[in-house]
Amino acid sequence: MTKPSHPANAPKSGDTERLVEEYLRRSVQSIPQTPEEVAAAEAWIANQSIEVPKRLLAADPCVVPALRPSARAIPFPQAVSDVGQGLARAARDGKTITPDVEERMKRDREQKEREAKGDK
Amino acid sequence: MPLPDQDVRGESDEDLLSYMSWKDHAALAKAACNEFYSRHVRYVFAVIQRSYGAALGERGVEDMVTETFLRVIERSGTYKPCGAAEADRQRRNALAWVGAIAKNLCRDHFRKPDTQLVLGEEEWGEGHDGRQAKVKVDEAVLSDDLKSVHQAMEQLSERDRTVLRVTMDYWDFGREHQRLPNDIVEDLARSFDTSPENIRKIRERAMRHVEKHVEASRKLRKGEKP
Repeated sequence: MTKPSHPANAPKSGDTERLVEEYLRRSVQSIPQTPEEVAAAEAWIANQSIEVPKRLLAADPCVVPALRPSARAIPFPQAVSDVGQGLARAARDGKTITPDVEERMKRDREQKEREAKGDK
Repeated sequence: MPLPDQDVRGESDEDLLSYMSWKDHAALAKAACNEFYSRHVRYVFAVIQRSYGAALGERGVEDMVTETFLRVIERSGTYKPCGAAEADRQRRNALAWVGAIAKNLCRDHFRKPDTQLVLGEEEWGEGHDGRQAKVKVDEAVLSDDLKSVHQAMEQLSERDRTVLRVTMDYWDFGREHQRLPNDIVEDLARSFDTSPENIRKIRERAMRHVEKHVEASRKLRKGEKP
């Protein structure tokens, strides 16, 4: 039995994948990974009205982990009591920390660690 | 080198990448990160959205942009400068490096067990039409064959195009007569919430459609009957 011949105009095996890959690169549907592809992407972007989401525009890249959906913001503890105010003052002025302030710091830290782990 | 409280807006992209890795100059590293981010967030968002928007969805694209910049900051010390003095060449080299990071992150993301890709609410049956969202392409930059590929891709449903688009990232061009490795298809099937057989079927059907369209277009150009 003879093998059916490949039509003369049909792309050869693997050629279609190559064509699709080249198409994706040239039409900027594949993330550019060479300076030439970047140049083509920049030319394409220049003609588009791309609206960057506000969440990204407002982000501070050095704290971007806070943007992750899984991340939870942990508010900085507010100094509400006298001990808290003493702690804040000591931190600002660089003074010696008294034992009761130190105890409060320890409790606060343990509480925040528990909260961060999901315990209440 | 600018002092930490100096303005880094005039620095080149390659210098910014270098400063970003200076852990012992935290203020300068932070300023460099901020500047690099504000210069390129639009570009990174645009190329990720264009390449993977259909699969990731709006929120997924935003997360991927964030992940990309995090990895860029983390790996900035490994960036190799292109050695050119021109700002344009430096920028394009830096963005090509950022692009490689983004592409790897997307590939890894599609293979994660908990990834759920966005493909609309349609069923995955053989006769499914899907949505027909058009991708705007400047056909002037395409050869005749690539124009045929574009036309064929336009005729595919968004779902089929997305499967073809995503699976192409795992195609090894160095090997002949290959099929997508089972582990990759299984991971993708989980992300697409379908079976590996369905992924292969959709991909093969889409590829065959493109192949037939290219063949018919070549015949037409030669004046033969398609």
